[in-house]
Amino acid sequence: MFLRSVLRKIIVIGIAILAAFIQTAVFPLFSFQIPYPNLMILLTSVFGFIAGKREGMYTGFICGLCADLFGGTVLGFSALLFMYLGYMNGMIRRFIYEEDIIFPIILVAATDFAYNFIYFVLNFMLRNRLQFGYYFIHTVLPEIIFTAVLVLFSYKQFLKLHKRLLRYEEGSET
Amino acid sequence: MKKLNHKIRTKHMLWILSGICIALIGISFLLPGVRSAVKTGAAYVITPIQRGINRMGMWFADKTDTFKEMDEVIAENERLKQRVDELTEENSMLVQNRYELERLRELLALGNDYPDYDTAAAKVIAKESGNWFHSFNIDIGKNQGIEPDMNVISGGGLVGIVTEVYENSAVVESIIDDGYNVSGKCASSSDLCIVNGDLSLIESGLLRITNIMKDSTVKEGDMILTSHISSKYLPGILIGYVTELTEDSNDLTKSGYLIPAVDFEHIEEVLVIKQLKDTGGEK
Repeated sequence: MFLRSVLRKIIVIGIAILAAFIQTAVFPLFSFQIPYPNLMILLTSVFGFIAGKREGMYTGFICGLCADLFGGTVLGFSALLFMYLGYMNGMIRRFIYEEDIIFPIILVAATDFAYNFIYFVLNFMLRNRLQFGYYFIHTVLPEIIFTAVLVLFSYKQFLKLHKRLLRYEEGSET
Repeated sequence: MKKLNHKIRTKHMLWILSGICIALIGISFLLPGVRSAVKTGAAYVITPIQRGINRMGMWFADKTDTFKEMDEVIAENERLKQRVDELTEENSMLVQNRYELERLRELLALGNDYPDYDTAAAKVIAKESGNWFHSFNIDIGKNQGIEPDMNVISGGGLVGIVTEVYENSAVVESIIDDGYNVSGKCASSSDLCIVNGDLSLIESGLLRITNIMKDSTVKEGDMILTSHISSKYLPGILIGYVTELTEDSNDLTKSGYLIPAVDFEHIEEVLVIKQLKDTGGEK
C-alpha cells in the first residue's frame, strides 16, 4: 500500500535525474555553444500541468535540486525557483483541458521564459548587462523553441504515464 | 472535507519546502564548507556516470563520423599534400631564422620565457545545465593532484581556470563566460589590457578586449598572452588575436575584440597546468 503511493515519487525522481544527465552530459556532445532545450523546466511545467499543484511543487523541487547538484553555485536557489514555477503551473490546470497539445506548449514556453527572465535579472542585470533584447533572441528564444518542440513529442507520453500511475494509485485505495 | 484538508497540506508543504530551500541558500553563502561537502558527495556519484555517457557518445560519434567524413578526408588529403610542400619550404626558411634568433638571444642574454609546465590531460565530461554560462566539468580531480586556480589550456590556448575540485572531477570556468576577466599582454609591444568574456559575443566566437592605452602600438592581428601581473594566470599563455580596435569615447583607451586561440565550439580534451602562479603571498 505504502509502496504504491510512493511509486509516483520514485518515478519522478528517476526521470528528473535522467533528464539532468541528458542535460549536462549528452547535449554537450553535440555542441558546446549552441543553446540546449531545458529539460528541467519541461518536466516541472508538464508535471505541474497534468498532475496539479502538489505534484508540480514536488517535481519542481526535485528538478531544481538536481540542477543545483549538477552545477550551479548556490544550493537551493534553483530548487526554490522551480518549485514555485511547478506550483503555478499546477494552479492553471483547473481551467484547461489537458488533452489539448497547444496549451502545454504555450505554458512550457511561458515557464521557460519566466525562469530565464529571473535568471537574467539576478545574474546579468545586476551586473549592468542590460540588453535583454539581444539575450532574448540569442539565448532565451532558441532554448524556448527547442524545449517547446520537445513538449510536442513528449507530452502525450507524460500524460499516458500520469494516467497509468493514477489508475494504479486508485487501485491501491480500494 | 478531504479536499480541503489536502489543499491545506499542499500549502503547508510549499512553506516547508520553501524554508528548506532558503536554509540551503543560507548555508551556501554562510558555510562554504558544508556546501562543498554536499557538492563533493554529489560529484562522487554523478561524475562516473557522466564519464560513461561521454565515452559512449564519443564512440558513437567516431563511428558515424568515419562514414560521413570519407569524402572530406580524401579532399582534405589532397589539400594537405599541397600544404606539406608549402610548409616544407617555409620550414627550411624558419630553421634558418631560428639559428639567427638563437644567436641574437644569446647576444641579449634573454632567458626562455616559456618554461615547460607540468600538465595533466583531461576530458570534458559535462557542462553546466542552462545556457547562460559555459563552465564545464573535467574527469580529473583532487586524486589526480588538481587544485583550484590551476590554469586550463587546449591546443596551445587558454581555456579557463579550475574553480572547484572534487575527488575525481573538477569544474572549469571558461574565459568566454560572461563577466570573466583575464589580464592580458600584447606579445609584440608588451602593452597590458583586459580580456572580457561576453555572452552577447559568444555566437560570433569573440571576446572583448579593453583598457589598451591609446598610444600603444597594439594593432589588429597581434597576439595577446596572459600577463605577468595577473594574480592567477601563469604568464605567457596564448589567449587569442586582436581584431577590430576602436578608440574609446574617453580618449584615453582603446578597446576591441579578440579571436580566442581555442575552438570553444568543439572542446573535448584540455590540459590542466599543474603549477599554480606563485604570487609571493601566503595562501
